[in-house]
Amino acid sequence: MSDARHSRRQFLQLTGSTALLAASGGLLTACGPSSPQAGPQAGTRKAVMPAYVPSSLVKPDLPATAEGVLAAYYSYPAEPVTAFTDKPGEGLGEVKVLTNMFNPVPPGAGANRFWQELNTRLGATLNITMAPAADYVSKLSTVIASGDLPDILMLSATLANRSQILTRLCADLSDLVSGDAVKTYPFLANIPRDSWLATAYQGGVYAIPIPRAIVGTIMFARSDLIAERGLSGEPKSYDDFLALAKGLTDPARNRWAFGSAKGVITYVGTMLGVPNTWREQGGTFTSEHEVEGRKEAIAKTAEMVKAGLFHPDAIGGKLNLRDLFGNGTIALNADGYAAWDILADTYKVDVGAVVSPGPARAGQAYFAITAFKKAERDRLAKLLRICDWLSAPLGTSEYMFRKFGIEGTHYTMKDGTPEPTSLGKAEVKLPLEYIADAPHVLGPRPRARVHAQRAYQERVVPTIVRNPAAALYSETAVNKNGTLAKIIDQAELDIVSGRKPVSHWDEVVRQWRAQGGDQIRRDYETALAKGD
Amino acid sequence: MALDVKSPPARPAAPPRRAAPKLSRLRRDGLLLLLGVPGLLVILLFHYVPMLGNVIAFKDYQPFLGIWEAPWVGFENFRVIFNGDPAFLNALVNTLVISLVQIVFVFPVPIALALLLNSLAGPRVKRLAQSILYLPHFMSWVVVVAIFQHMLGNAGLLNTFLRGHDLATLPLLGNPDLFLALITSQVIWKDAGWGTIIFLAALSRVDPELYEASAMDGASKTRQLWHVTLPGIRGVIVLMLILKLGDVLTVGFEQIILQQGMVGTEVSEVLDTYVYTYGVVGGNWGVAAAVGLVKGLVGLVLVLGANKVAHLLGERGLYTK
Amino acid sequence: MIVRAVKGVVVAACCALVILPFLAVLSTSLADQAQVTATGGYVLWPDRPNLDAYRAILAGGVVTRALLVSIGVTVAGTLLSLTCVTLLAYSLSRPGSLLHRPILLTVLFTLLFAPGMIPMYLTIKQLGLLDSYWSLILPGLASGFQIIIMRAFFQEIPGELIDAARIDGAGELRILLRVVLPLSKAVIAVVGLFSAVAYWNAFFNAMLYLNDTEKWPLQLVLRTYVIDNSALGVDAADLSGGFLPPPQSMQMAILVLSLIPIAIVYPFLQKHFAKGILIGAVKG
Repeated sequence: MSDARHSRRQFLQLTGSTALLAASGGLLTACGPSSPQAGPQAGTRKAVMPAYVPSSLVKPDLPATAEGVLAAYYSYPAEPVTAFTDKPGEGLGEVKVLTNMFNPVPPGAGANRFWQELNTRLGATLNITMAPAADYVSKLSTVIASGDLPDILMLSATLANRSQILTRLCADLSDLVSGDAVKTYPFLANIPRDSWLATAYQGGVYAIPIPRAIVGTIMFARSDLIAERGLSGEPKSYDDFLALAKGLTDPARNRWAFGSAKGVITYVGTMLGVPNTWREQGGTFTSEHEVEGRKEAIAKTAEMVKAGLFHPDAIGGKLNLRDLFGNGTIALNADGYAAWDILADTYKVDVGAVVSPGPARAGQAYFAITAFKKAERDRLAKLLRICDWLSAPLGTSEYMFRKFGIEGTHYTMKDGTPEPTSLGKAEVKLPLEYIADAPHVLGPRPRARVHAQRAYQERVVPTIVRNPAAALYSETAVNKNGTLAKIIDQAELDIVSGRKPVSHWDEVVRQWRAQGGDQIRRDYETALAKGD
Repeated sequence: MALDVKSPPARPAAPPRRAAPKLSRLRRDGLLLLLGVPGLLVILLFHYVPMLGNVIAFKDYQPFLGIWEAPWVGFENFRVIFNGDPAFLNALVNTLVISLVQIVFVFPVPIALALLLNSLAGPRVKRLAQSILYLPHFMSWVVVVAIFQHMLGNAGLLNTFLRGHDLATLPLLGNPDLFLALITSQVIWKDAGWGTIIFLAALSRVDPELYEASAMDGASKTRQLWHVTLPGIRGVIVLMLILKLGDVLTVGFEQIILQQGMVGTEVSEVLDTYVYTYGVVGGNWGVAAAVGLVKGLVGLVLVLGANKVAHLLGERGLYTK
Repeated sequence: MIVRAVKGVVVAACCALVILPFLAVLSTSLADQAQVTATGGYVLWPDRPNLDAYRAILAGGVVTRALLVSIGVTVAGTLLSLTCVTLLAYSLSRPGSLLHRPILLTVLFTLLFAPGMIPMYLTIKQLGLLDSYWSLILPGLASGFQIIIMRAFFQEIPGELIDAARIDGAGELRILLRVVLPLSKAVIAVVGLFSAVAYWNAFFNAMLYLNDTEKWPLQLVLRTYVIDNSALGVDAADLSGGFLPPPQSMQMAILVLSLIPIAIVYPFLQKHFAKGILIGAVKG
């Protein structure tokens, strides 16, 4: 694992990350303007990343760590703190917003008390245009093409030509958020550095992130099934993991270990030293696909498929993996970290996480980024204050309002937990968390679960392998991502299903390089060289 | 054809059409033309005006640039098609094979079904059956694929039943050799009932007198089918077939991309999925436009060609000369 | 007799093949989460049938409002489009008439060459139709496919009938209304159905052209309940964000809800194309 540590060091050198600050002991001291940190894509000037100043307004039961372990709560704070004494958007008038939505459409502003109250509290009229997430890139492209940008717009992580769109059409926020300036917006300053990495382009900061935890995907397990069969959920090696999977499989009773190959390949890869997307060594980048461990991980997964450890329709099938996990058809499933609560709450089963014997792989620390139409500095500052308001963390009254609405109208507190009323269920569905949001937290949930989640993070995060390219921008990487992902995904399925031999992988990697992989490597190497 | 109106209603004194001076033709057909104006305006405004945007097929277009500012790149965007890549050729062959199979096996199904429904005795049964059969048309492919998997998948109802009774399972899904059969049957399941509608409409116009006449001649039901019914709807069948040819390069994008992982691209990559993967994802608008133009041109050649053939065979086809 | 029995069996088998999956869809929409979880997706028969999914969808009035929008757009669109299509199809149904060929080719081209999404959006914007219901109605008023189909049916109307009317001194409009249309109920029903279904199902243009969610039609509102609707939308899901897709029962309830209006209207149109038209009688 020396290799993983190495790339992590490189990462720290590159970005002066929060982990470094933790190592140096003080958080605030290291963040002064005296230590400007270079961001990605520095041209003639270098982007100065916003300082990280964890908010001390609310005291979590377990505080967040600078390395990226999430803060944890056992319950909702009894007395929420009110963070804003004024209306953050006072005087802005109408604010047009464009973002995506995952929830069903809420009632329009005219018939939605939550929306009306939101406008009152903000002191501005938030006019939110929303599009279903699946169609969002189309909507965004037409809006961009028409040249008629809203005041605030969410840019998807996969949007092509992100750098050019931001630097040509959107406001440069450097003056407002770089370095210490961000302290004007305490809850934007509360967003960890990892999440900000995707907001700096050509020497400026052009957006704010919608943060996600550095813990990305987790291999979830049905702990009850593992216990029932007297197995160990703590593999020390690949062989242990294989034994676990075998022990959980019983086709006669419709039980299998896995329901999808992708997560297993990645997971096994962590045991074989496969880098997180890229490895950087002395300015040279190597892709995860190019290392021997990756090929081996695919070969091992293919063997597991052959041994019958996968659901019979796992290869390329459209399975409801969470339902299958919930009903015990599959016992292990790689899913986003936030699925922990979803699985435990929805299916009322014992959910655990299987820690890989290798170092865990960091996730993408942002969902998307939020940019602003070019405007007067004053207007921008107020729009940022709205985003600051939208990022107020758990424990503030702003948070409670944002997530649950007006107490007594949209929710009632029952045993210390907000219980939505039917009006709340209908109205409190605005996609505010896709404009700006506080970093996620663990809980508030039953103490035992929160402890299990926290323990997992504390164990995994210190050695987590970050993607050394997360702080760098490659236009090719964004624009060719779909093509390259399909080449890789399809080849993995071809091999694990036994349709193609393992040796086919070499040809696939050649194709991957020709279709853009090599270009991305060059982009990153150039960006890194320029940035240093 | 039963009702032969191939020749326009000729007035005895009318001069040969082509030779008619424009002015008198305008006087004769002016009102007729005027009737078409609203529809034509809609087509011009909402089809041809935005179609000018297809010039981006020859440009490196990005939404933030604007169509006119985007730089010209000649035929660069067409390279995804004309690069001789074996993967492209594979996709093209698959597309043509799937199209051909669907023309042979899918196209006739609604006709047969319409004839079957039409020949049912009770009008109530006929209507009931018809209003059940058209339903699947309204399911999205995601749901259709999921239902097929739930029924026929390796862990689906059928195979779970077989496994439970110690019988050999049938790996119908995830089997590359059966992929063509699978997607063909899915298309039939989803759209055959809906497809009957147009043929039922055509059948409703076959002159009952002709049936009576042929019945008096002692023709059997089968003979009536061949000599009265089919000739009566032949014009519509030919027209639908010609229109279908225009789509020969387009086969179920969503249906196929949803199921590609199960069988691999060797058997399942088609033109649209190939172009999507290698050109369009990542916001390559120019490539999308370029491929649209090529497909349109191929479709045009096929439609006009098929129309010519139809004329040679004495059919009216899409339009008369 | 045997033939009849065979026919009956074939039709019954076809219907069963269609109806069984639909029963599964309907059952799943009525099933509770525990049972859906147990079966891993589709339920063949709900153990504890309930209308929770439907209640959840209909709560808040958004869906009801969208239903009215959809009905309005579909009715207006279908009527206007039938008018446009019928008139243009009729004006092209007389071979040899002035400009007949170039206009027909103009129509045919629209089947083969489609405008792109962005130019279409810019056109709608230039015409000032953004956030207007007309942006959903106008672009679909003259479908090339419908025009060509209808024209083909018009052309099969016996020429003698039209000639006879003309000799009686009828003008083009009168011939269309009095002779052609009464003989074309079947194709009008079919084209009307095509048009209505197209308006009813359209959601993408509404997503692009309507910023105001209160104007959204039903299919777009329902789409926000279904995450995996698009084959390509899967990677857009915010998995790490803890996004919770609506339960399967709700997704199936949506499918059922979107079918109900079609199921109601269909029989009325169906009687026009499932019934023979006595051309002979008219002729005689």
